[in-house]
Amino acid sequence: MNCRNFKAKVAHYVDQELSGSEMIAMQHHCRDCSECACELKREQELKSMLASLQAPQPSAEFESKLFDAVRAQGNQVQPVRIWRPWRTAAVAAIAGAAIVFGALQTIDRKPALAQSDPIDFSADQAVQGTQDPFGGTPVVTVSSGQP
Amino acid sequence: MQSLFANPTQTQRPDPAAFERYMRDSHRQVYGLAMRLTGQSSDAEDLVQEAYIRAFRFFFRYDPSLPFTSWMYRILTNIHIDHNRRKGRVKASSLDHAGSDGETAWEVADESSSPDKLVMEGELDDALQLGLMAMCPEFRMAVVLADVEGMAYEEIADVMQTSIGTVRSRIHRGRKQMRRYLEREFPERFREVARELP
Ligand SMILES: [Zn+2]
Repeated sequence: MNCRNFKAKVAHYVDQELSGSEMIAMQHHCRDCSECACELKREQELKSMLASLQAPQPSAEFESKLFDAVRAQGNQVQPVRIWRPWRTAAVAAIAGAAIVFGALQTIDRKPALAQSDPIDFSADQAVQGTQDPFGGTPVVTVSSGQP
Repeated sequence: MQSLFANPTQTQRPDPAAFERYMRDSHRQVYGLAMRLTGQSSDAEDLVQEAYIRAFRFFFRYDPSLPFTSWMYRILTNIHIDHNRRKGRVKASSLDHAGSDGETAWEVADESSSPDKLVMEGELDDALQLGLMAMCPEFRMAVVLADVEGMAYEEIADVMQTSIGTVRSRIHRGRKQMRRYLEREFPERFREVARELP
């Protein structure tokens, strides 16, 4: 183990992500080399400072804003359909009939989703298989038993 | 090989109340990660919101035998990477930032990394956050997951959807960038470790 090797591996040594023999070689080297011992100390210092960072707290309104936004999304998303002219015409005809029917009837409509209602997933079901949740990044398969 | 995501049948309906429970239990932690990655509360809130909206739409693909926060982290980090790419910060591999593994990284481009903005010596958390912002976004992500979140490289590779080798390289180079920045901008605090030694 030379200084160059030590410095290349010091991050992984601090993270305990080296093999047992590499860990021992690192220990031996920094016992004999004050420059690398110093390098190790600074790396450890940085890691422990980052580990002790205070967890940032969201603003008081954030939780309700977040829940409202997700619920609103649940109401907005329309099922994805393949456009077929004949079908559009048929749907228009049915819709026309429904309007006439609706005018003749008093229909009790459910109001828009209230704040306390659970999220409605029904509209989202149709998007299944059309997109992936990672914004266009291919979904990578990983070995079983993780994370 | 098995996907991280469950592969439910068409008839399987997600439980809407379950999503809200997951969201309630995880959003503070997810916000914490977003804050470390963006350095700004408004950006963090937007990022978290977008991540939960996406998670909500794809909740049927979530496998409840795996931790929900890991799934959220994966979605959030992907959105964050996409945002950075869209901002045009991605540069063709430069000698400075391109890794030996050939990956592309961003130039240090965050305006928020200017130390004269608000941070005084003595405010360690702020100095560290500036140090995080001084890293390329993908390096920052790996370092935050390793050091702030305490994840093993294998978990980080899973969240960032990359190889362990890439994670190693990002952590090594990210910490180097951060240390160089902190030692330059806050010499009093970050060089004292070196002086203590013979
Ligand atoms: Zn040495």
